[in-house]
Amino acid sequence: MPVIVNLDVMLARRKVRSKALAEAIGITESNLSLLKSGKVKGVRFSTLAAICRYLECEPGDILAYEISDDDLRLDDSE
Amino acid sequence: MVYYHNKFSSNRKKTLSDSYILPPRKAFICRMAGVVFLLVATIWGGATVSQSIMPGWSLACSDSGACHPDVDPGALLPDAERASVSSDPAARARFAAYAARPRVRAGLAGLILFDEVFLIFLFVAVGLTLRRLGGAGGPVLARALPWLKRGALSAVLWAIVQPLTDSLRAMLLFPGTPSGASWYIALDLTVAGPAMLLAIAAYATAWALEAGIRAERDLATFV
Repeated sequence: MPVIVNLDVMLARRKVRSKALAEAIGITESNLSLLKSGKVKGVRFSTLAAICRYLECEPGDILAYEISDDDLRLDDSE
Repeated sequence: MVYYHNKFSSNRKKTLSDSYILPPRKAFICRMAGVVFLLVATIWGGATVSQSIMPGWSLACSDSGACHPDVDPGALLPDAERASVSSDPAARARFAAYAARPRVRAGLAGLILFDEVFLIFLFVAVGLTLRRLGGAGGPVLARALPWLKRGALSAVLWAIVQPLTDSLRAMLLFPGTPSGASWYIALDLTVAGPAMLLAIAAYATAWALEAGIRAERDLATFV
């Protein structure tokens, strides 16, 4: 189960358009759209920090996780 | 609630793209070096064809600077056999007649071509690698690395083939020598040995660079 991205919820709460957020934090709208849909491989901390600063929220407001044993790595050294 | 309109510039992609474009001067030097390698490959190919048509062909130059072509199949023999042939005029004549036989000439031609084709391809591969590295725009390194790997593989094959062709050539020519036909195994790795090690190192370097490019591409998908 991948990490759940609730960015669209926060955008709605803050009444901020995707375009405005993308321009403010310096990523393209297409990348922001991919992020909202959870289709990205990862998010930089700097991007996350910028989003949280702009929307005045916490990372936990944007990202959620449902426990799933499928996410356990086979590499036990971690 | 105040919204900042300033851009948070830290999110700009700071990773290197795979468009490794060299500075103009270095790119030019790279391309010219590539041309040199391709020219060497062309000249070497011509010399190889000449050698295969006339086995033992060489250009002998004197101290005065005058050069003249010479065809001596005995030069293809191992040192000991060459000495025994050249020391006896009758043996030299018998050997020359034997080496002139169509089957022997065809065998020598095949061995020469087989021996040199990997070296010629190595020069071509290095030339194309350098040409691509000095290219403009696009995934320069990603385009160059496959040719680097091909060149390295060709160098490894050349190093392996060298002792084999030396042995087969000697065994092909031995029946024309006073000692007659016999087995011969050439194990001189003074040139081929270091060449193989360098080729393996080049191949490993190409692997590492490709892994780096893949990792960078994965990282580039991070928003």
